[in-house]
Amino acid sequence: MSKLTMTRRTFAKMAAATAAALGVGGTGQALAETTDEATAAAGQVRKIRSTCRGCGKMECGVWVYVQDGKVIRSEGDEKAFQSMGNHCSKGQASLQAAYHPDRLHYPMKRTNPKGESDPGWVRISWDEAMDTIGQKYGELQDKYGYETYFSMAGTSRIWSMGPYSALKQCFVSPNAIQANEICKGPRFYATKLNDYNAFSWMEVVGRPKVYVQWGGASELSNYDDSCRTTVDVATRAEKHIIVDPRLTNLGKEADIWLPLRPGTDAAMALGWINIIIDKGLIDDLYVRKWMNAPMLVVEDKDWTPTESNSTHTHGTTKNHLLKQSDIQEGGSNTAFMVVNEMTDELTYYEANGSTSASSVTSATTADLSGGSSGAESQLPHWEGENWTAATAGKEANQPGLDLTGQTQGFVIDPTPFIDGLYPALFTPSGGREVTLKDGTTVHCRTVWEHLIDRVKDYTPDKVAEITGCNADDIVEAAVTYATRVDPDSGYGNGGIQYMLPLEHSCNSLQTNRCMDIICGITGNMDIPGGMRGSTAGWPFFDLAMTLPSAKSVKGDYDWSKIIGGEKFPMLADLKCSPSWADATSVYETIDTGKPYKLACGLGQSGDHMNQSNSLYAFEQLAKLDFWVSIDLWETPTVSMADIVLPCAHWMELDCIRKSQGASGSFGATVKCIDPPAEAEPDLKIVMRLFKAMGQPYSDDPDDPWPIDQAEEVAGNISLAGFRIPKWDDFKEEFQKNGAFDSKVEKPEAWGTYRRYETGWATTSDSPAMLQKTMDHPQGWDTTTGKQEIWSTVIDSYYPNDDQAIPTFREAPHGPVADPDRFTEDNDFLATTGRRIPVYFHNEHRQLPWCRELWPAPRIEMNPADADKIGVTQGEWVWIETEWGKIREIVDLYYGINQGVVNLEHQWWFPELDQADKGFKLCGANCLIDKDAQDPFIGSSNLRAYAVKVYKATAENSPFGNPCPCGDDGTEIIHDASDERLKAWTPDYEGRV
Amino acid sequence: MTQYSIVTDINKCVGCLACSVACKALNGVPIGNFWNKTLRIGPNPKKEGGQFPDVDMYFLTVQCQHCENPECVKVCPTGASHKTDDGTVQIDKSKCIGCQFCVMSCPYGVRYLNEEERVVEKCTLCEQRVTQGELPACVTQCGGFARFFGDLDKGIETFVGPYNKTLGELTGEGCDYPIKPYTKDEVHHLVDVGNTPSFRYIMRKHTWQGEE
Repeated sequence: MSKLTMTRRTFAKMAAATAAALGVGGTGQALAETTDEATAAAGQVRKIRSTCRGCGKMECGVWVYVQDGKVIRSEGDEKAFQSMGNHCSKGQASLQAAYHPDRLHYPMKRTNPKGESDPGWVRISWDEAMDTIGQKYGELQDKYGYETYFSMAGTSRIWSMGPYSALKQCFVSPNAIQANEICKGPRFYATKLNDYNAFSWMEVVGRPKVYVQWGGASELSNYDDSCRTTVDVATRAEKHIIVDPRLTNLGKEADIWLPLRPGTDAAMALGWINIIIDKGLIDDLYVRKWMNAPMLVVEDKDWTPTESNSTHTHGTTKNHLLKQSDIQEGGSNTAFMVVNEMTDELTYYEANGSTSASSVTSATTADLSGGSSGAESQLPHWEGENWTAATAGKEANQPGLDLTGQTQGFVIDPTPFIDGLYPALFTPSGGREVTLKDGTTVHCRTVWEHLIDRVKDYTPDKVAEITGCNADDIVEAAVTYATRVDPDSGYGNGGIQYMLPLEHSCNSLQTNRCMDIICGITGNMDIPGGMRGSTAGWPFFDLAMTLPSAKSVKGDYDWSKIIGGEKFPMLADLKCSPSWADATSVYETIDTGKPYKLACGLGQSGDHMNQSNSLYAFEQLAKLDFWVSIDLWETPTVSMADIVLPCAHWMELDCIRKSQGASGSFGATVKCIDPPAEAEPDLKIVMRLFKAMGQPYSDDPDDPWPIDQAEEVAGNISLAGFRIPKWDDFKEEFQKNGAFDSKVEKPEAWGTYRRYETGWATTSDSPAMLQKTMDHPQGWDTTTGKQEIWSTVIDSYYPNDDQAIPTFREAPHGPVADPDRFTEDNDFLATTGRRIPVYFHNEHRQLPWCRELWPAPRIEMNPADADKIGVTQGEWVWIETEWGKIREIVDLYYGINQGVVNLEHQWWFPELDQADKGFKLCGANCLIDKDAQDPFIGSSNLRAYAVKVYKATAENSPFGNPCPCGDDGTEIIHDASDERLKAWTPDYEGRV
Repeated sequence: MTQYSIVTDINKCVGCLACSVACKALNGVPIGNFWNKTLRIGPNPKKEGGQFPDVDMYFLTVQCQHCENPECVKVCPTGASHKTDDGTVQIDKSKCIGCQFCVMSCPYGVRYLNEEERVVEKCTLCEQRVTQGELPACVTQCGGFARFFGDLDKGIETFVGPYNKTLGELTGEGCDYPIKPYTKDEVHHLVDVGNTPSFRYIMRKHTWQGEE
């Protein structure tokens, strides 16, 4: 059996080589230049099919209308099955960003010291900017080492994902503050530990029959799924369940609403598991065959966990599971013991035998060679099993797919165990004594029994007490989800769309693991409308867009030095790292110089306001010797830059786009207009950085920095292995027929459900050209080869902490863990982060069509609470914690519980003529405790913390004005009639 | 007779505001003015003295209702505001003197004075599109797939929305239908003070606030 040891870099190189053979490097022109522009009569409108980027992620198909070389409008593309013709307010307002008078047009350098109200920006040439950048970083890295550099990443504009991947190689430093530490990363990571990276993605477009939104509102964010899809799915579903502390815009229609106390999601989830098991609603075959439920846990306290040298992504772990090597000389340490219910004998599942594909979040230099167990002569298997991929099944039968033109896909039938085998979920009479190879005896119980131990305390009444929900409603919700509406279909009702809030109350990893387990025990993994992972398509991995094909000439970066690794050891282990440096630790390192000096960095559409304490973060950025920002605007973070580089808007660039989620579509963002002045697509800027740092980007020795063809080169690399391998042809086909359907284009990797039965669940997002030759082992990409209720990785790192099975932990500054902060009438439990339809996190405050609809930040408060503290609708209030204070406007909202308030996040004020753009005035993350974090992976405490709220008055407000003002006393825009909004209408001049 | 109109399935409206921006993008409405707005109605306790979470909320899209018997047309001294053959109410800007009697007479507050042009403006039901057989922007761009356009005299089930589907075709019980059945009592209109608004709102399960 050949062993797959390909690294991410090897792939990039190979893909580039293949692309070269296919003719990369031609002089293809952007579509806008090649089609009918030359012949278009004045006034004629051209319609260009593209993929929006008005929000951070969702790949809504759109039409962009161009007249006389200007974008005049954009509309939804109904042919785009992933988004149904949706084009949200943000997306439609996007052209106001492209033509905004405040866009950055040229590279600039600062001439005034950091912290001054005016950075004194002076225009410089690209050459001067890049020369200075190369020189400055070079000097600082010579002095302090490569790791003195860190990047800062924003979110999911795939052409600007350098900090997640390419820039680590470019600067030979593992350090990057990544937005995914608090957004989606914990979900990806939880599933990476449990089964496979990113199986937190639910195939919402598959029209689940019971639709569960847990802490999300994609109808407003259009993030993960479009509004139109979300509403369509909720309307069609037999039942719509929502778990959310406040009444949401779509939640008003839900059949069951569980309005839980912020931060108690894990208690609710453990309660659901308890109910589902108690009512006998588990998918028994899946639980026994594809989860590590029947595996035996050694319970003896003095027993030292033994190693498993796994060939799966996580590599070697030390765990409490009983292995063949524990009981038999020469036994495999990846053969996990279970009791055969039919014989009462011990038997095993051998999890090794083939290397799985890389888990992509840390794939930049992921070495997949893994450990070795000497058991690789066979694919993973149960004792006595000669496994082959399952083939029997039938076409899915999901409703509503005809309207959008989706295909159904093929559902593999569940395969039974081999004759004579049925692993037991329970040991008789509470345990089984097993004699080890040294003659000693240990006491074992199954993982399943341990799960039951964990959840049995979470009775409906107990969960009701913790969460504040009604016990009967909790039972009804769990039973409704787990009871199959259509048992004849042979699969479950669908997945759970679990979202952002689960990552924000310092239990991010374990809460998300709970969610994954609910979906597992109910048989909703990789079924129609279920949890499916990232779309398999082209490119195989969206963050790969900025990756170079050349190797570093300065050697590899040292992952073990990643900042935050001391506090959160899993971060420093490349094999099981979530891939980020911990944000708070980075800021503290700047502050203290320990464990080493962080002197410089670069932000690519990233900001300091999305995690950790914004005030503390901003102070630290000021201390850096050198900071560079790549952005569209002068944001608060950009104000700390020594050099700022102007990037292009989505209407100004070419880029392949694949659904990061599970919609199964891929297409393109297509250039419609030129960028203004000297702004450039991020991809070009990344190549310029490689050049400045003396690192080759392309492995073509004659052209290591193909900057002028950057988008086309990247497009061709991304398409390696596709039936249309050239970017220009791909775009042409996309113009004609719209988004591609991965179910059709990749029938094995995406068009088939229950891929853990075929070996494709963990290999489907591997490079297409490799897929034919690589091993496709059954099951999941974990040490045990099963969906891990018992996490071998967490067990390995925290052997004495009882964390291998997920737990609930109260938020550190919530009313239970920190009751002293809840003693006065004006002490509230704050949640935040709900989506404002016209904004994407900190974006779009300067777009008139957005700002006029939502001029100022609001705090939702129950009218009874407002009465109690003497405030009313439309009044400014102070919101204060030990760590900061901000102001927002009261919005009386009966849809939120008494004692809870909902803050808006990430506000800053582009209208203010000062460097920090007023982010301190209203930004919710100014309030948080930077040291309150998830104990495993560092995610910040962005929700579920105590705040004091009181009326803002002339007496207690700067400038005697309750309305927040800039440093010179100018009020922020807080009304649609503000004349300043009109100054932000499109500027069609200044474009080269 | 023809009476063009829009029907909105309130249960599918989630206040996403895509209709508002769509209108802006197509019609060049000045910043700070709106041809359509989405109002959040509630949340209110379901019953007197009720408490969270027993609350009710919906979103109401409001724009010119293209009334059968419009007050604005009656009060217009120059004939600028007028009913057309397709039943829509339009403003002939060349005749408008900016007196704003119509702004005051409209029961829904959907007209405003364009400060630059000194004439009154409001929703035209995307006249420039509709006359070419296309749908209004607030219908095609509706995030919730909640809006349908058509001739009220032919019945709302004939109204057309995205994918060129009629409300009638899409309505039914079960997962195969994205519009749920509704009764006559569940079809509402904004308050009628003799003007007979033509727009319709389908709303199930929530309590319609205000008069009709």
